[in-house]
Amino acid sequence: MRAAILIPLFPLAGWVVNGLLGDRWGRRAVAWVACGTVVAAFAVSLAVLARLLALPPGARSAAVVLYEWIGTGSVRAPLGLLVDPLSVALALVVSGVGALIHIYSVGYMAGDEHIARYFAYLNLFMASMLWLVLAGNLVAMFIGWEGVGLCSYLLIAFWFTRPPAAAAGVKAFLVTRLGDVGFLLGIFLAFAVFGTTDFTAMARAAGSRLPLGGPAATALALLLFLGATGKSAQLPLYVWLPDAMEGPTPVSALIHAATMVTAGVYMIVRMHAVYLRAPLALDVVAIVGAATAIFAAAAALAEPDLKRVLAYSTISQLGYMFLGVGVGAWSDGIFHLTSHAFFKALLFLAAGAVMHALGGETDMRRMGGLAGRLPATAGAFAVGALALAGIWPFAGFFSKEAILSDAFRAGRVWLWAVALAAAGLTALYIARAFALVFVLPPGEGSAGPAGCREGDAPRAAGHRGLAPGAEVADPPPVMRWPMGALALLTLLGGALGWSAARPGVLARWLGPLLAPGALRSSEGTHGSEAALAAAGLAVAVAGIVLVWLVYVRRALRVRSQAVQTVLAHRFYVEDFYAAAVVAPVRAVARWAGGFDRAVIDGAVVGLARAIGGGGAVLRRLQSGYLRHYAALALVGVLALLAYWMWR
Amino acid sequence: MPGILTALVAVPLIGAAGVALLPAGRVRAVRAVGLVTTLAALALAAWVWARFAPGTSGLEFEERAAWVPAVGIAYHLGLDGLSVSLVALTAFLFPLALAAAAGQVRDRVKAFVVTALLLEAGLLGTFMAQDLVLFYVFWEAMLVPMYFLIALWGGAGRAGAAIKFFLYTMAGSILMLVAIVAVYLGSAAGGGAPTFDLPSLLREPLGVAPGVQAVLFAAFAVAFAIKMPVWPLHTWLPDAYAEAPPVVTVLLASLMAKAGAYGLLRFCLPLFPEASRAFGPLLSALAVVGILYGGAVAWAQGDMRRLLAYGSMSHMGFILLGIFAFDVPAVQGSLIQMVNHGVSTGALFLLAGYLLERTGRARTDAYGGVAATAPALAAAALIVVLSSLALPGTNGFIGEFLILVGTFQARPAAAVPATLGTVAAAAYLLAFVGRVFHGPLRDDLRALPDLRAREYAVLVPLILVIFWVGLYPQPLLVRSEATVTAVLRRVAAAHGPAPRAAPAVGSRAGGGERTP
Repeated sequence: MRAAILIPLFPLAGWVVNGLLGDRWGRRAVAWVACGTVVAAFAVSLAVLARLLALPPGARSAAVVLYEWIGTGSVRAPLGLLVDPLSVALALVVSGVGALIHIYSVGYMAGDEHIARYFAYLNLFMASMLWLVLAGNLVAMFIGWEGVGLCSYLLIAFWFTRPPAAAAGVKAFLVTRLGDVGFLLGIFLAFAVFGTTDFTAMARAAGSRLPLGGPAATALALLLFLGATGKSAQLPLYVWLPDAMEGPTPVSALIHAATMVTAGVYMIVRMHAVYLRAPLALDVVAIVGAATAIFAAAAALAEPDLKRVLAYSTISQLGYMFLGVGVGAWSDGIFHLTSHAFFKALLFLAAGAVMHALGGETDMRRMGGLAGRLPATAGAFAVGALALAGIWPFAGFFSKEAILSDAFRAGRVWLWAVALAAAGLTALYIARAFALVFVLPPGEGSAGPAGCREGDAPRAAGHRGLAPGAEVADPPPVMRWPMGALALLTLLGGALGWSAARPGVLARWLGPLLAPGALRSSEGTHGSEAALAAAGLAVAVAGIVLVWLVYVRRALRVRSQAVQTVLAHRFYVEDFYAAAVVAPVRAVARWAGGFDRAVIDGAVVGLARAIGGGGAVLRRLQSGYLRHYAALALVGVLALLAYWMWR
Repeated sequence: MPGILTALVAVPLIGAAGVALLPAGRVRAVRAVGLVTTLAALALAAWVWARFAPGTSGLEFEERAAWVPAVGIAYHLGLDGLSVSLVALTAFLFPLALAAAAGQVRDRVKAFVVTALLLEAGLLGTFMAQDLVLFYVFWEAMLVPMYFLIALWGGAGRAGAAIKFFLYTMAGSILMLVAIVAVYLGSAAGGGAPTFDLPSLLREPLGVAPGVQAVLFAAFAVAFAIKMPVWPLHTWLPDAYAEAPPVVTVLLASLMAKAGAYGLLRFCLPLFPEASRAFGPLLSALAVVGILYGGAVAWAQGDMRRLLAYGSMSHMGFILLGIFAFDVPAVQGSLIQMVNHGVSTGALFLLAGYLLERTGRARTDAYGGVAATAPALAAAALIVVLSSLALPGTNGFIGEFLILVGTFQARPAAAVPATLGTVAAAAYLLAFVGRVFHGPLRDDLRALPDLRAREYAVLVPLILVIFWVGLYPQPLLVRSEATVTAVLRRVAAAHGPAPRAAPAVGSRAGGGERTP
C-alpha cells in the first residue's frame, strides 16, 4: 500500500517541474507534464483499488506512516496516509475528473501566455486535494485542507492584474480561513479528547471517549463542521464561491465544483464516528444543508451570469450532500458527491466551451440561440442540466433521490420537503439557463448595460459577445473529448448507487467502513421508495415545464418586482455582511491605528518625558548628543560594577 | 582554555577589528571581510548545532573562567535547548543580512560593517551567557550598536526613531540592572556566597519574599517585553522598523525580538517560578491583545514596513502566548516559532528592502501589479507570506500550531481568540500581496527588474529553511525538548522550596533542573 503515496507525489512533482522550469519549455511539454502526472495519479489509484479489491472486505484498511512530522510532549502527528475504501474512492474521483479537466485545460488555456504557471498551480491543487483525501490524521489532512485553499486563491486570482479577480481570491482565502479557525479548534479539541487525531484511533475510541450527545462530542463535531461550511461554501460562509468564478472556467469546474468544495462532506464522512456521538450536531449539519440547498437554488434563479448560476447551483447541491450526511446517510452523501462531480464538471466545461466560442462572454443576456451553432456543447450542457435537474436516468436523479428518501426515512419530513422544493427550483434555474443560452433568440434576456466577462482572456480577439457573423464554433477535440467522457459518466454514474436491491455498488464498497449505526432507519418498502422517487421526478419535470411556459412559449408571465429585487440581491446577505461585518472590522482597524499613535505612544512618551525632567533632557538628546549617551550606557554599567567590586 | 563558544563570540570581534584596519575607501574589501567573518561564524555555529546532543536539559559546550571572583562574577558560557537553535539562527541570518546590505547601505560602509559585526558578537553572547552580569554586558553590547545602526544609517525620521528606541531600551536596561543586583543580594540568603552565576542561582530557591519576587519578575519581564515587543510597550517598534535601513530592520525583527523572548524563558521562568505562575494569566492576556491588536493595526497601515512591523508584533504575541501557557508543546512551539519568525519576518523585511531599493516607495498603494513584471520576486514574496501566515507545510504552521494546541489545553480562553489571529494574519499579509503584487501593472513600474543573482543567493536559503522546518521540524524540536521539560517542571513544582540537588561535577544545570 505504500505505493499510494505516489498518488499525491506525482502531481507534486509536476508542480515542482513546471513551476521551476515551465517558463523555459514549450507549451506542449508543460501540458504533457501536467496532464501526465495526473493521469499517473489516476493509474496508481486504480492499482491501489485493485489491491484493495483483492483483500477481504474487513481487511481493506491500511495505515501508511511516512515519518514523524510533529512530535513533542503529548502532541504527536505523523505524516501518514490511510488507504481504505473511502479514501481510494475519493482519490479515484479526484484524479479521474482532475485528469479530464487538465486535458480540457490544454485547449482552453491554449492562448494564455502564463500556461506554465496555470498548470503548476493546477498540479499543486491536485497534490493537495489527493493528500487531503488520503491523509491519515486530522493534522496531516489540514495540510491538504489549507493547500487546496491556497491553490483556490492562486487560481481565482490567476488573472491577477484584474482587480475583481485579485479581490475574489483574497475573499475566498479569508472566508474559508474563518471557517478553518473552527477546524483548527476542532483539532485542538480532538487532541484534548483523544490524545491523537489519527482517524482509525479516533473512530475506535469515539464510543468510549465521547459520551453520546455530550458537550465534547457536540463541540468537536460543530467546530469541524464550521471548517466545512467555509471550505464547502455553506450558509453562512458561502459568499466567496460566487465571486470565485473570476478564475478560469476549468478551475471552477475542478476546484469549485468537483473536488475542493466537497472536502467538507468527505471530512464529515471520515469523522462519522464522532458525528454519531453528537446527534445535535448532525441535526445542525442537516438543517444547514437543507437551508443552503433551497437558499442557493433561489439565488440562482435571477442570476444573469452563466458561471455564477453554476456557482450557486454548486452551493445548493453541496447543501444536499450535507443534508445526506446530516441524516447519517454517509454513502449516499459520497454518492451525490461523485455524481455531482461528474455532472457539474460537465456543466462547467460546457459553459467554458460557450465562453471559449464567445471570447470570454459569461452574461447569458448576451447569448441565445446557440444550440444550432454549438451542437456538441449544447448536447453536453443538456446532459449535465438534466442530471442536475434530477431527470431519470441520469446520475443526478439517483443520487439526489437517494438523499431525499434518506431524509424522509430518517423522519426529517420537513427537511425532505425543503429539499424537494429546492429540487423544483433547481430544475427551474438550470432550464432557464439552458433556454437563455441555447434556445431563445439572441438578445431575448434584454442585455444589461455592462456584460460579465471572464479573464483578460488574451485568447479572445476582443469582446465579441454574439456579434452577427462572428465565427462561433464548438471547441477543438482536446476540449470536446473530456466533455464527452464526463457526459458518459453522467449517463452511467447512477449505477454506482442504485441497483435493484439497495445498497448499491458504492454503498457496499464503503459498507465495512461505515456500516455500524450509519443509517438511522433503513426501513422502507420499495413502494414508498418509488413514491418518493416519483415525487422528486414530478417536481423536476414541473420546473422544466414552467420554464418552457414562461420563457419559450411565453404563456405565463411571472412578474413580481419585489421578488425580483430580493432575488437579484441574493436576499441581501452580502450587503448585510458588508455593513455588519466588513465595515465595522475595517473601522476598528483604522481606529486602532490612530489609537496606537495618539494614545499608547503618547502615554509612553509622556511618561518618559515626565521622568526625564520636563523635556530638558529630551531636548538635549534631540540636539545630537544621544549617541554619546548611548555609548555612555555601557561605560555606566561598567562603572557601577566597579563600584560594587570595591565597595 | 577558551572553547568553541568563545570562538563564536570572538570571530565577529576579530572580523570587526580587521575591517577597522582596512582603509575606508576599499568598500569591496570591507564587504568581503565582513561577509567572510559572518560565514566563519556560521560555520562554527553550524558545527555546534550539529554536535549538540539532544535529550539532556543541561548546558553543553560549557566554558567558565573567573572574571571578578571577589563578587562572584564569572565568564560563563554555555548552550542548552533554549539557546542552541537561536545561536544558529543568529549566525545564519548575519551573512544574509550583510549580503543584502551591499545593495542598500552605500554610505560609511566600513563603519556599518564594523557595527554590524559588533552587534553579532553581542547577540551571540546574549544567547550564550550563563552569568547575569555577563548577560547584561552582552545585552548592552547588542543594544548600543543597534542604536547606532538606526541613528546613523536610517531614513528621514531616524533621529526620532532612534531616540524612542534608546529611551525604551534604557528604561528596560535600568530596571533589569537593578533586578540583577537584587537577585545577587538575594542569593546570599541561604548562607552561601552571593553569586551572579545562573546555574548556581537555580540550585536553590531565591531567598526573597514573594512580593519582592514579583517585583523582580516584573523588572526582568519589562526589559524583555520591550524588546519583543509586548503590547503596550511596542510603540518604539513601528518607528524603528520603518526608519532603520531595511537590513537593520531584519536584524531588529528577526534577532533582537528573539532576545526578549529568550530572556523570559532563560531568566524569568526559572528564577521566579511562583511569580511566573502568578503573572501568567496577565501575560497571556497581553499576548492575545497583542496578536489581535497588532493584526488589526497592520491591516490599516499604508506603509509597507509599518504593516510588516505591526504584523511582526502580532506574531511575537503567539510566542509570548506559548511561553506563558506552561505546557511542553506550547513552549516548544514558542521556541521553534522564534526561529521561524526570524526566518520568515526577516525574509519579509528583506523583500520590502528589495522593493524600496528598486523604487524608493514606502507606501503599498504606490505599487501595483509587480507580479507581472517581477514574477520571481512575487513568487518569493508569496512563499514567505504563506510561511508567515502559517500555511501547513511551511515553518510558520509548526510553531503556531504547537503554541495553539498547547495553549488550548492549558488556557482555552486565550487560545480561542488567539486562533482568530490566524485570520488577521491572512488579512493583512494578503492585503500586502494584493496591493503590491496584484492589480493592474502601473506604468511607472514596467521596468522594475526581477530578482538578481545576489538576491536569489539571499532568499533561496531562507526559503529552503521555510520548507525544511515546515516538513521536518523534528531536529529543532528534539534539541529543545529536554530543556523545556525541565524548565516547566521547575515552574510547576515551585510550590515549596525546591529540592536541594547535590551539584554534579561540571554543573550541568542549565535553564532548569538537571535530568538524571
